[in-house]
Amino acid sequence: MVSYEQLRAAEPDAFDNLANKWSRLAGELSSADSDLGSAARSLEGWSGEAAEAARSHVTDVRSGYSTAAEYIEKIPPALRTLSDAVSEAQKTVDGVVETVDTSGHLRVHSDGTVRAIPGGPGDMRSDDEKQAASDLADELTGKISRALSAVNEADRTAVSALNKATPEAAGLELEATGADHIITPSDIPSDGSPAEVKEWWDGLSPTEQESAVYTHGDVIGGMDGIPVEDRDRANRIRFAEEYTQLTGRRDELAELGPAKYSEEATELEEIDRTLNGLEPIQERLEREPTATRPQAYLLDFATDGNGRGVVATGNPDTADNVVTSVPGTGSNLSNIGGELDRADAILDQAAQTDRGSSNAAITWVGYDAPQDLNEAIRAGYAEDAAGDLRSFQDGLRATHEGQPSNNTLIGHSYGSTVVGHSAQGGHLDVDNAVFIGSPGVGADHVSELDLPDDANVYAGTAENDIIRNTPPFIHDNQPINDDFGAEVFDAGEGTDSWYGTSPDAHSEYWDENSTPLRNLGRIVVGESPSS
Amino acid sequence: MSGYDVDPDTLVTTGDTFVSLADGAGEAVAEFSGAAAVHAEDNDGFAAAGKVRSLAALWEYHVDDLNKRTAVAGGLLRDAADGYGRMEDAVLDTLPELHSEA
Repeated sequence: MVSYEQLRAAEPDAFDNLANKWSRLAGELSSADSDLGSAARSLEGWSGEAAEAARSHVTDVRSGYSTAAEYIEKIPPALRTLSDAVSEAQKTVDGVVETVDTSGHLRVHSDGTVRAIPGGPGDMRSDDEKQAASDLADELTGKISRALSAVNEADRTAVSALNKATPEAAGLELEATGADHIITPSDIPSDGSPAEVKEWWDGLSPTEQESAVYTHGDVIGGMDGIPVEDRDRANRIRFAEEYTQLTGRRDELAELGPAKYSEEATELEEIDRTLNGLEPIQERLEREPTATRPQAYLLDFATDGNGRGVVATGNPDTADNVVTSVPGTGSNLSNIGGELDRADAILDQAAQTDRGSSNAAITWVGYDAPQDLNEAIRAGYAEDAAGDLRSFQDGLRATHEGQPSNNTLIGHSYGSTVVGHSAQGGHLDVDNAVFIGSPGVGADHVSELDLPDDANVYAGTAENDIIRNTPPFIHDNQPINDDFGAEVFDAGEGTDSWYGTSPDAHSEYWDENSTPLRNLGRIVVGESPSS
Repeated sequence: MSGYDVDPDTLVTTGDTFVSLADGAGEAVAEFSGAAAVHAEDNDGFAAAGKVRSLAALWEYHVDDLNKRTAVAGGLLRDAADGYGRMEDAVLDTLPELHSEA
C-alpha cells in the first residue's frame, strides 16, 4: 500500500526508464530469434540425424526467444501506465501542498491528512474564517485521499498485468539449467592448479561448460586454466552489467548536480575514476581487429579498491608469441588505457620484426600496485602479487593449443619487482623474463630466480632513467648491474635533465621507433636484443 | 556417419555465429540487469516495483537458459573442425536432451 510519503518520494521517471529497458531487452531477444533463423539457413543442405537434431534444436530455441520477447513486451505498457498515474497523483498532491503553504493556517500530516492549525492567543481570525480553514482542510484531505486511492489502484492494476508477463505464464521451462547440467560453486576447483582447472574444464559436458560461463562467470572469468575464449565470454557478460550499471548511475548523479564535498559528489568521482578504466577496455573489446592488432580478450577485471584489468590483445591460446606486461607504481584500473596503448606498440613492433608470427600482448593490471613512491619502496606489494602472476603464467601454458608458445614476461619499474618476486618462492614458467627500468627485483643474482633452465633473463634501463638512482637497499641489486648476471640490452638514452637523469626517461620505452621498443619486439618474437 | 551435403567449415562458421548470438543476448540481459539495478531502490511502497524486480530475476534466468542452449549448439557445431563423426555423436547425445519437449 503506497503511503502519502511514499507517493511524495515516488519517481515515476524510474518506471518509464525501466519500461524502456524492458522494451529494449524484448527487441534484443526478438533480434536473437531472427538472427538465429538467418544463421541457421546455412545448415539447410545438411542431412542426417544430427542435422535434424540441430535444426529441431534451433527451432525450439528460436521459439523460446520469440515467446520471451512477446511476454516481456507486456511489461513496458504496465509500467508506463503506472508512471502516468503516479505523475497525475503527485500533481494533485503538489497542488494541495501549495494551497496549504499559501494558507498559513493549515498543515499536511505525514499520513496525508490536512488539518487546520489551532489559532493561539494572537489569532485574530473570526470564527467563520476558522471554520472556512477547517472546511478547506477536509476538502484537501479528501483530494489527497482520492489521489492515494487512484495510485494504489494503478499499482494493483500494474501488478496484475505484470503477473501475466512471467516466464511461467509464457509456458517456458528451464532446459539447460536442470539438475543434470548445473555447475554449483562447490563443483568449481577454485584451489586447483591451472593444469587441474584445465583438466576439470575439459571433463565437463558442453552444457555444463555453458552453465559455468553463464551462471558462474564471476569465478570462471578470473580462473587460470580456463581457456581464453571461455574466460572472455564469461567476463564480457559480467562487464556489460557492471559497465551499464555504472554509466547509468553516473548519468543519474550528473543530472542531480551534487554539491561539492557531498556524499553524491564523492560517489560520482569514484564512478568516473572506475569508468576511466572500463571505457578504454570497452573500446579495446569492440575494436575491429587488424593484421597486427588482433581481437581483444577480457581475461579478468574488478572494480573494487584500485581495480584490476587483464586484457589480451590477440588470443594467447593460439598465438606463437605471448607477452605479458606488468606495469609499476601508480598503475590501477583507471589508467589501464595507457597500458593498452603500450600493448599495441609492442604488437606493432613484433609484427615488424617477424612478419609471419602471430602474437598476443597481455596487459596485466592484475595486482594491487603501490600508488606512490613512498609505497613503492616496500616489497610487500610485489610479494602479494607473486603467486597470482605465477598462476597466470601457468594458466597460459595449460590452455595453449598446439606447440608451446614463446612466453615473455615484461616488468616495468615496480612491475619488474613483481616479476622478480614471482620468480622466487615458486617456479615462474616463462621463456623470457624482461626487467625494464627496474629499481631492483628482490634478488642479488639471476641464479636466485626460479625459471626454466633455458629461460632468458634480460634487463634494460635507459641511460637517463631516474630509476638508476634507486639505492640497492630498497629492492636489492639492479638487474642491469654486471654482477646480477642478466643479459643487458640497449634501452636507449632517454630524455635527460639539468641534473642528468629524468623521470621522463622512465616512461619512454614504448616510444615509436625507439631502441628499447625495437629490442622488446625482438625479445617477444624470440630473437636476441641488441646490447 | 549419416551427415552429408555440408562443408565442415560451414558448420564451424555457423557454430561461431550461434555462440556469438547467444553471448550477444547474454550481454543484452546483463546490460538490462545493470540498468535496472540503478532503479533498485526507487519507488518504495509500490508493489509493482517489487514485482518488476522479481520478474527481472526470473527472465534473466530463463533467457540465460536459452542462451546456454544456443551456445551449446554453437559449440558442438564448431567442434566439426575436429572431425565430423565426433561432432555428430555429440550433437545426438546433447541437443535432444535440451529440447523443451524432451
